Parts: sequence; C-alpha cells; structure tokens
Amino acid sequence: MGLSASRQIETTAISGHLAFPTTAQLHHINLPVFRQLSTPTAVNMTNMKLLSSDNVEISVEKDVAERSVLIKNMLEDVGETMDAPIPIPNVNEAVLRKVIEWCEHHRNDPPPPADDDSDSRKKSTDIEEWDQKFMQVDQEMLFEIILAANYLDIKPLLDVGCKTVANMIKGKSPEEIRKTFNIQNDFTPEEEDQIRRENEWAEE
Amino acid sequence: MRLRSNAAAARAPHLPLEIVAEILLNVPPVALITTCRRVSTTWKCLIETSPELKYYSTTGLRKRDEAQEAADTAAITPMALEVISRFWGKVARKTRQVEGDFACSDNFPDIRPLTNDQLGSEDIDLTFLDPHKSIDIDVEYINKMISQVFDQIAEQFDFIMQTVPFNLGEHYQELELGVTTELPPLRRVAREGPQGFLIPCEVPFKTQLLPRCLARLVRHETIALRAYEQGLYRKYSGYNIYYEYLLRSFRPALVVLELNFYVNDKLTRQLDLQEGLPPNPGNRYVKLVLDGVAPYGVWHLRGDENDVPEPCEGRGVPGTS
Repeated sequence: MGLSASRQIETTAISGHLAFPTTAQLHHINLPVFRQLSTPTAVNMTNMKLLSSDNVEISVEKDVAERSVLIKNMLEDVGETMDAPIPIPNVNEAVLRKVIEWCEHHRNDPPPPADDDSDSRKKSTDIEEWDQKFMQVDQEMLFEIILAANYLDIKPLLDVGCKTVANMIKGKSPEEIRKTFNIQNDFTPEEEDQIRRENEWAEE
Repeated sequence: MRLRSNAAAARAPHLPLEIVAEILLNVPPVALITTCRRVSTTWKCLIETSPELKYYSTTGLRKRDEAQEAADTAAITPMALEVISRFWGKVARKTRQVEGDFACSDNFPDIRPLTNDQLGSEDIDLTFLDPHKSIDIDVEYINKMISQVFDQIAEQFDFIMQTVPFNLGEHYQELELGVTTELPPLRRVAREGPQGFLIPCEVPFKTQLLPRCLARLVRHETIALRAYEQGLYRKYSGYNIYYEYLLRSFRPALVVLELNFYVNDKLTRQLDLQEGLPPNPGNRYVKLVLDGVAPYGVWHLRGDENDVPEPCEGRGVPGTS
C-alpha cells in the first residue's frame, strides 16, 4: 500500500463519517504528516468502506475490518487495493456499526488461534466487562450481531454473543427458553412425561 | 442483560442450528441434558445427535481430537462427578428423612425425639431400653427404609447412568492408597458387601432426633458424642448400607464403592485427606463423596452403654483391617 491514514483521518473514520476520501483521493493529499506515518505499522491504518445491506457506506480502518476473516480473505484475494466499498449483504447498517464498534475495541487483541477448538477459546465462560456492556442490547440486535459475526467470520465476537445468549438460558425453564427463542413446544404429552422422568435425577 | 418482552423475542431472527449448537456449548451440561432437551424436539435431537453437544452433555468436556477424547473418557469426567455427587447428595438427604421418620415413628412409642428443653432438663426421666434389643429392631426397620430410599433413587438415576460414561477403573488404582488386600476390588465388594450390610449395629440419627435409649448415652457421654463429631466412630459407618445399592444398581460405577470405603476411612483423619492426597482427578471425587456422605451420621453402637467401641485406627474396609 502506498498510503496511510493520518491520525486525523483515523478519528474521522471512527466517528463514522461517510464522506471519507477514497484511496485515490488520498493519493493527492500530500501532507507531511502522511509521510511521517508511512511506516510499516501505519500501513494498517488505511481506510476502506463497507456497504451494508441497506446500502449505507461505512468507513472503517483496514485493520479493524480485518478482524473479520471474511473481509481479510477478500482483501487478500483482490490484492488489498479495493477502492469500491465491500458489500456486506447480510448485515444492515445498525448491526454493522455495532460490529465495527466491537472490532475497533478489540483491534489490538491477539489473533485467535488457528485451531478454533483450542482450550483458550472454549474454556473461558466469563465475558469481559466491556463486552458485557456491549452486549446489553435488545434481543433482536443481539441475535443480529451473532448472525453478523457468524457471516463475517469474527469468531471472538461470535463467542461473546453465544456466551451472552447462553447466560440468558441459564436458570430458565424450558417454557421460558421457548419464549426467548420463539420456539414452539412440539413434544407430545407422552414425550414430555418421558423426558421429565429422565430428568428426575437432577431434581432436588 | 435488559429485560425483554415476548414481542422482542418474536422480532428476533431465528438462529441457525449451528449457532444454537454453539450457544448450547456454553450452557452447563446438566442444564443442557435436562432443561434444554425439553425445549423442543429439534433441540433434543440436536443435543443427542450433534457429536460435540452429545459429548459435552455427557462428559462436561469439549470434544477435541480422538486421542484427547480417549484420554477424557478414561478419566472421571466432570459430568460423571456431577451425577455421582447428586446421587450421594440425594442419598444423604433422603436418608436424613428416614432418620426423622424413624425417630417419630409410632411403631416405637418409647423412641421419640426429645426437645431441646427436654434434653437440657435434669428432671426428665429417661427410660433406658435394652440397647441390644432396641437396636436390633431399629436396624431392621432402618435398613428396610433405606432400601426403599435406594430403590427410589436408583430408579431416578437409570437414564443418566446409561447416558453418562463412568470409567472409573483407572482411578481406582490411584485411590486405593494403603488398602491391604490381594483381592480385586470387585471380588472384595462381592464378598464383603452383604456381610457389611448385615452387621446389626447401626442406628442412624441426628442428635436432635435421638431415640430415648441413645439420648441418655449421649447426655452422659458414655458413648462420646464428641467422638462422633470428630468423626472417630466411622469404621463401620455409612458405607455398609451403601453396599447393596452399589452392587445392585450402580454397576457402571462399582469402583465408587471402593472409593467410598477409602473416604470413610480417611474421615477419621481429616488432615490427611486435606493435605496428604496427591493431586489427581480422583481427589475431586473424594471430596465429592465427603460432601454427600459426611452430613449423614450413621452411628455405630455395640454392647451396653459402657462398652465404647474402639476408634478406627487403620484404613481399609470392614473386616480387613
């Protein structure tokens, strides 16, 4: 990459302004600060755009967007020179902004291990305080975030979402879980009775 | 998490099954196999057939590679611990109910619980029954009641015992510290279990529900309540009545019986238990059995009020020391 973003531009990107200069436009900006920041570490601050399902362009720093394995792979495939916004057809603007917010907060997290079944990911059932607050959204948004994380292949975010929903399940009765997930009880009375008997061992 | 209305839940998108599976992998395995399996046929099927969920719900462990899986299932899995813990907990709680029933039973008009006031009064006339006679009757009654408790609990555990793998054999070797016998554990159980069960000298009770014949002994400390509290008179306590159940209904976890001997024996030296055991997965089991059995006070009485039984000195099972 020939250009990098300045601090000023980075701030603009975080604030979510849509009128962010394209890579081509940035080529014409010849400010000293750019040259100063044209270091290997600054390369990752290049901006790019994502296009939500409701056709809203959202500017995001490349290293933030690359928390998504899907986007990272896409950028690698096209040689990291995408000026056009990357369409994210399954995620609307509100959800995409939430996902980007999460990615920005976790931009410096170490990359997840290659083995996605590793203990480090699976063993911890705790959710970081920031993530807990981040996930304090209504259920619709929570599920949308999970779906977006799954689509964009952001495993740590998917994990946080799944743990959050799992915490909603804990302590609930089957009926309460059905309501939470909008699920129909399709057991016959005989089947229900059978499972109830099988569960007697766990009853106090 | 904010409270959500049903309407909000209805608006929320449906999650695909692979994500539901991922969510369920973060739910405690007991809740998974009990509550979540009751949600819908789809969830039940998912939990019972998805390799990861099935493995997690029956072992409490994450499915990884085959080698790790083999190592996991050769160990005492968290789910096995959970099930056994709940089993002993239930036995302890239900047996305490039996004690209460026993002490209040109309079949034994002279054996009634004394109130705290009565126990503290010097004027009370404590009718002292022949301990041999009363205990013989009591033991028969108590054993019958406890057998019923075991049957009820055994039935409750049928499903989970068939579902959860119990591979405790390897750990038996580690836990059989200092037990001197040449017999393999299962043969020893078979030989000594029924004998232990028939020893007619055990009367379960709690101090506030003491039968009269025992109240006086305790009041005068001719049978040392202090010793009971310190866990000294446990040589024949507890495990005798557990023999029959284990032999009959707990077949996949027969080794549990041997661990239980050991635990009861170690109860006489609690410091050893806390400090002396090597760190291995079985130790958690030892702790677990303690939790379940320790609150259950089975008293060993032999002879008259002045015939205080010898404290348990060595480890080992009844009849082998």
